Amino acid sequence: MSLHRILVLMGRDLSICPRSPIILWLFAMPLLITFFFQVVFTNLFDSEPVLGIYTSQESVIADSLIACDGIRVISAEETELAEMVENGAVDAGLILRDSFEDSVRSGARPELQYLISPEGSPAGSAVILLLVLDELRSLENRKTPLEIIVISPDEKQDLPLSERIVPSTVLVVMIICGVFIPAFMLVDEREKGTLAAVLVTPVTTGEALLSKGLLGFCLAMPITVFTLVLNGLSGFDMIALLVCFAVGTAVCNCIGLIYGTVARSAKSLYTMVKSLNIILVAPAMFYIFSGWPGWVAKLFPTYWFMDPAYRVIMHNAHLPDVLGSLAVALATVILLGFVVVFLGRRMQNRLTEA
Amino acid sequence: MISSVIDVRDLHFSYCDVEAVRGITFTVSRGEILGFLGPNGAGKSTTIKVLTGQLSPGSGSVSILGKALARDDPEIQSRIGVCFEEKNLYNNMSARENLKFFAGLFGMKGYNPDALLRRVSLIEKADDRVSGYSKGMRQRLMIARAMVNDPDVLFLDEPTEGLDPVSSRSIRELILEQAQKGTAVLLTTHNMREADELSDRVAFICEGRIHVLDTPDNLKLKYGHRTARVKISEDGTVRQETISLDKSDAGDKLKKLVEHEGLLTIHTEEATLEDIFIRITGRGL
Repeated sequence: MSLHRILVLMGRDLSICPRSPIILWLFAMPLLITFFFQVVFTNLFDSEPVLGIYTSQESVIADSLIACDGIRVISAEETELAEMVENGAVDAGLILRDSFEDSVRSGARPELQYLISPEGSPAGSAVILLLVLDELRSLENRKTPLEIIVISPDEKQDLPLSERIVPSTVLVVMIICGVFIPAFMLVDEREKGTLAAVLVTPVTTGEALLSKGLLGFCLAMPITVFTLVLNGLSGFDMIALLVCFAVGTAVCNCIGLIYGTVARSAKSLYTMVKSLNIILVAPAMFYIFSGWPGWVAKLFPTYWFMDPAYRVIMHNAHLPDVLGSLAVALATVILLGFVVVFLGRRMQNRLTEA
Repeated sequence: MISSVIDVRDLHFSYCDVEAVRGITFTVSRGEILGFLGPNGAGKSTTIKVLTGQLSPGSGSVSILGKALARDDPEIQSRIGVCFEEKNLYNNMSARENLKFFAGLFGMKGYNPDALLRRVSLIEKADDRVSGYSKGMRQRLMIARAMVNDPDVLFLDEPTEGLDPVSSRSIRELILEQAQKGTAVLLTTHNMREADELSDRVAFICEGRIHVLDTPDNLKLKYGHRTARVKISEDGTVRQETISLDKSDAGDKLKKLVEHEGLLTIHTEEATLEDIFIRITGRGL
């Protein structure tokens, strides 16, 4: 096994990446997937809380909130506002009826209709609520008339769909890139006959396969981290997460090499990816649809790195908390490594017998 | 000093139940070109695949450069060059990039491919992508790639297949040049003229067996018939006569015809390798 030859092979593959439409597509995929999920599940590009307001007449509170920095205010009709709150177009909705501000000024305690979106950001709605309370205090010139209780969600079923989907998005990107890059590069070389040309040089089959696997690792890792950044995830043990990603990418690379050694052509690889990748990304569905029985997810090999990553991102777990699952994932890498060696030999025979 | 660079003894190889190579034996010396001639499916390419380590020999012994052949042996593979029948170049890279990449696989750091590109007349298109090359240019690059490590043994599988005469000639010149430098060349081809022109010895292979192995001249002497074809004008018509030069009365017959007033042309003909192949194997190419 020569490191020099592996690096030469990887260098060539890296140099042609910008000329390969498939690889370019994989680089663009985090943007596209993030865009898609943001559009579907959240408000695209909304980094600041969004408040929808209905006022039946001129309102001092509404004017003050509109002038506030750090939040965006959308005026809407009452029925329209209810819909916006429901579908997550705004984080919260405020309904100010005719007599509300006069009642507050007169010292009465009128009912405030403040609607929190189930699909919006809890942090956003809390920020907006504080601002509303501040405006009420100004209007009334006395202490806050409401008691605020902030409940920090720590169970995944308590998290809104828009938050549960983000780590799943990152992990799905990792699986697709980690599997597809080595598989595609291998099948492409086999189909064009260039692998046969490489294998009559001092390069061994093992070196050729390892170079494709490492290439997949070196490309899938940054793409995954980029997706993480793109989705604005932060505030967790980054080292633990990178370890989860590294182990997960290694599992995916081995699966990719298995695909690449088994598939006879790019066409059969696409068919394989389309039909089998659903099995690989299946555990992500258990986080999106939290009502599904969790034990079923454990049957999938990708669960053992997806679950640790999910726990680090969503529940701020640390490396010692997830070592057990990662050990299972590492054992999977070793097992899959043996399968790759066996299939690599078979592939070499098929390559020359063709 | 190794006398035989390639030494194959009683080599057998089977694809599942089909025996593609059935006990062939031959040697190739340093600087020698051995032409492997045979029809499709004769076992030529399979033999090359075994000798280049792509397939493991079923039985028999194979040694390259004095070393017993093993699959995935970097030591032997660093000293051989292979030109495939299929044009398996990296089309999205330039000729220069292709050669530099392969030189890197042979551990040649800082390799400059210009001299080799000049030799195959590709220096002016060295930075163009291979996808824009003509068939002849690609084939020349294939040969250059096979020679990038200045190999001791060169395996050429149908190197001029489907090329125009000009491209074929330039490739033949390259092969001869490489052999003159001391490289042992194993050449497979359907083209008998090419084999005749290039090969020091030729092996006729059919159905996995070598039927005969000798120099082209010896084969022609042994199996061929020398003839003279004479055209004579007589009573306003042209008559053609064929005289076997191997017969005892050939001299008298020729003398008589030369003295004939109506003599138009005399052409001597010798048997081609193709004729001999058909005669020996009982089938054409």
